[in-house]
Amino acid sequence: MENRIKELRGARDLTQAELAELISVSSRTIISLEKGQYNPSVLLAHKLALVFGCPIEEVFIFGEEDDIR
Amino acid sequence: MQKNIFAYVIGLVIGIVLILLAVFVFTGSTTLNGACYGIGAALIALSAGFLIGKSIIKSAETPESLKVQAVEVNDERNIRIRERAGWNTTRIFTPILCFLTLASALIGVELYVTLTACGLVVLLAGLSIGSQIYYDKRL
Repeated sequence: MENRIKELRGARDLTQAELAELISVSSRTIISLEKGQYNPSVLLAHKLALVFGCPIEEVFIFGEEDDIR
Repeated sequence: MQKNIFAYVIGLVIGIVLILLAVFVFTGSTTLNGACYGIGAALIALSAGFLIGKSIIKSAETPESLKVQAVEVNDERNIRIRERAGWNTTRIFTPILCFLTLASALIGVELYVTLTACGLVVLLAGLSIGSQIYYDKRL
């Protein structure tokens, strides 16, 4: 699953550590999310969407080829 | 956490009592004497290690470090890593344990060794089934 976290974070001038603190996760989680290595839970996706002020589907792009990991 | 500390204090006390029993009471019986020394020493090492480590960590704790610690513990990626690591360990360890049990039976080691290994296999299977039923109801 692709995402626009890096782009949206950059637009809001947030560092990875600041974003991590806002949603109470470790910086490594943000790094993994931005690299697309880790698919978050619905709760974390919702928190990210709230921080960026946009719907979840604008933060995460769910492709048809995505399988359950 | 308070419960953990209490459990380790109890472990430490039991360990000391076992060592004292080995030194003063079960001096004649070598099996019982050895078991008391072994279990007692293991309990003391485990409990004292935890309690000393905890006191060192506590002396260095600040509100900021506690917050970071809480984030690290509750971080969902870390939780998933722990779950996968545990699952992988069990997946690898189970066939190894089964093989060792079978090998111990075939090469004719002492019966209690084979029975202990069998007990571990049964315990592992029981825990696995129990966990599956528990999480099947909870999740």
